[in-house]
Amino acid sequence: MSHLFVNLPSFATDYSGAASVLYNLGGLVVIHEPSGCMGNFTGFDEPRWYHSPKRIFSSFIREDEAVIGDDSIIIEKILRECKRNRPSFIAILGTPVPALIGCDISGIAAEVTDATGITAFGLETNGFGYYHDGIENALIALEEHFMEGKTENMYGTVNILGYTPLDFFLSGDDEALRLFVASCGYRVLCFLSGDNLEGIRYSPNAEKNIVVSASAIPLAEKMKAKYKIPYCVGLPCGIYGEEKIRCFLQNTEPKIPTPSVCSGKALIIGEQVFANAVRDILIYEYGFSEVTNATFFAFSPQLATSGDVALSDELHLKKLMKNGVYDLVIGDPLFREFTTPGQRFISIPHPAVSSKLNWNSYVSILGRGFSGYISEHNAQNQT
Amino acid sequence: MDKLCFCSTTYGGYGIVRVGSLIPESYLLFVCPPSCGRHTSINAIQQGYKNKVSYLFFDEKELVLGTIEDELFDAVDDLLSQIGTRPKAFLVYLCCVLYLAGFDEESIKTGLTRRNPDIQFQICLMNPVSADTKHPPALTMQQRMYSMLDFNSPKENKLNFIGNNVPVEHQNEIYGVLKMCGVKVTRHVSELKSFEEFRLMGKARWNLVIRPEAILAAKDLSLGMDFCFVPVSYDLVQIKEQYEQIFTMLSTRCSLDEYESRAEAAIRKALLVVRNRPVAVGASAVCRPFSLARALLGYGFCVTDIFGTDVALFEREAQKWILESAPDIVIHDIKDPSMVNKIGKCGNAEIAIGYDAGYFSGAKSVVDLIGDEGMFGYYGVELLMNRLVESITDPKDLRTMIEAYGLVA
Repeated sequence: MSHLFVNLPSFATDYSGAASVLYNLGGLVVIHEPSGCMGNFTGFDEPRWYHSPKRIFSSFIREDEAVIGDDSIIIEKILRECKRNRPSFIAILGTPVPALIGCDISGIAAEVTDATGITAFGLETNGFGYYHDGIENALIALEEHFMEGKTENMYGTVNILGYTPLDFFLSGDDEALRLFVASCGYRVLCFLSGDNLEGIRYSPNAEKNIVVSASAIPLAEKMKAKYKIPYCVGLPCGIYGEEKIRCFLQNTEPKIPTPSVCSGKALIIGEQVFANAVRDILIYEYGFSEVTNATFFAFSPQLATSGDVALSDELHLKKLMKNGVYDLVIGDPLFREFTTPGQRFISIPHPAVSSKLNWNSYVSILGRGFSGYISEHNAQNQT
Repeated sequence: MDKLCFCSTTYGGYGIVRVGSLIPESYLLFVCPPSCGRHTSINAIQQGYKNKVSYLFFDEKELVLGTIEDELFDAVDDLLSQIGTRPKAFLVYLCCVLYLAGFDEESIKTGLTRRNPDIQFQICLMNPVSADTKHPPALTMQQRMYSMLDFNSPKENKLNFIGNNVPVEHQNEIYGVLKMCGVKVTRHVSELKSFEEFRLMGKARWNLVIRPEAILAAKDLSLGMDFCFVPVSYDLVQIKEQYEQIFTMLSTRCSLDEYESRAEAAIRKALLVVRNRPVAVGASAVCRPFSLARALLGYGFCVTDIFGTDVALFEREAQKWILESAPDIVIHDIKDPSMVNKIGKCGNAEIAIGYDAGYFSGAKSVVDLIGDEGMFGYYGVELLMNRLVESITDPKDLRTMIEAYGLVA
């Protein structure tokens, strides 16, 4: 069923999510598209593009090429670029036009590998999914093509899975994660998305994985099955969030804090891991009795509690906010306009939703300062 | 294009959805996969026209089953009940995949009109896949937009500016010149208050096409409306020729000496400040980058670089001149993949005209100009000269300029 969006913008798309994961890995990334799709990624979903663009290029597919279905054109373009500057790998991302014409993206990648000897893979993104689909696909592809298996047990190391600017902007939360992990006696072996291929190759040697966005759960599951790496999902955000991850790393049982006196009902709209972390803060630090999470993006049943909602479209969200009788709503500022009279709203910009509109007011969610932000803005709303 | 393409942060322009939003009392619905609506919807919020545009996102299944048309009819009904004021014009934008899938435009238009006879519907194409054809989206947009005019009323001595998204500055001599030549009223779509006024642009006897985007529209309209194609230039010789074309179209003429003198004075004044600082010209700023470079050289400026290699037919002669007579000027293909490693390092320009020239050259002084907006004729030269000076005396941050403009690819 199609979805009408009257007030909200379109959200970050799957190929943006994939390109975001691959951004810093030194490969050649080709988005198979006519030029408009590329603009979504470069202009609206990738805050690093202005200052440090990478080798992520458009295939500039044209009408006759699409109608005829001539894959040789994109292959020639890729080969030409490889001759000029041999990349460490090649990734080809799909968009709506190749999806329509049934373009075999993986087949193109295979031909490129045959011709160059360079590892190449296609990701079946198509512009119909949201960014989490692309992140998930790209992470799985990285595992398939680059992880070299467990060669040693690197005790005291951890991988952070699912960290991209589409959820965390360029907030420095990666450094906060690194510091937190260090405070638990561990060190980060690899961030995925990563900064280099080497880290990814050796990431199966890590002792544990921490999943910071729901799109990385399939990778965490795969690494658990294949490399026997246990994982936990969460963010060291708020007292209980920190406690859970600390205990996971230190193999202890988390002490569940006693919630303060119950008061109020809240709705958190956002990425599921983030929303869960905020829910814990609201329940254990601010005494909310009922907190519902809702997301337009990856919705993992294993992360959901009863009543959590996978949102389908704008109308769905409007109805939820109207009928849910929430005292407090937390989410991207663009959701504020759906609040009902008397409903408090706390803005936490989500780059995959409002893009550059709120890049400058991004709120770092890691560390105890975030609890203070909630407290301060909740109080401001009440006055 | 036989190579992969680098889409730098300066890639893009006004955007055809924003162009459609200029029609007064209009509403826009973009029918597309979710990805296609990302840039235009964020841009619409940023630029303040989101209240005029909605999105109908379909999925692959609907595309394959062919149910989008029915869902579109329902969505328009739903939308019209939600948006309050009933629009007079309704533009339905179809994306690349619907275009390639052979979506039946006439059937949609007929069906929507039957359900809503008080609204004028138009189908527009957001199909960058056709950018290299004779009907690229920017030109098709103008065709479709101006085909909505009322052509039945008798013609009057009125003139439309078409192709430019932003009106020519009101201090520009063109308005006075046109008045002296008997033009009673000039119109630009962005300055009209009602859809009826927009439709009455069809009563104009003349169209002045000052940007190439409206050339197909002007040709379509030429049966009843004479037109003059005078893409914005900053070359005094070309400007004089353009006015001659306009005089021929209007069958009358007037003196331009005063305006030309003022432009010359502005050039002299700018030269005193700019002196021999190297200047880079970007194709994002103007539709005639080679002509501009040639003109600046002729005025005594030091031009070192041109950014942009897509050469329009009307620029070939100037390009040839640059290649033959100013071979030291470096011409950069900003879409070439190698440019990803050259940001801020291309050439030694200290002043850049346009965002692309500023971004790639790293010039400290950047002239805030895109798509010749607000420019034409002798006063356009004056403005450009003033901005050249301002770029030195009051330099602005390039990224702030780019973000404020809201480029859409």
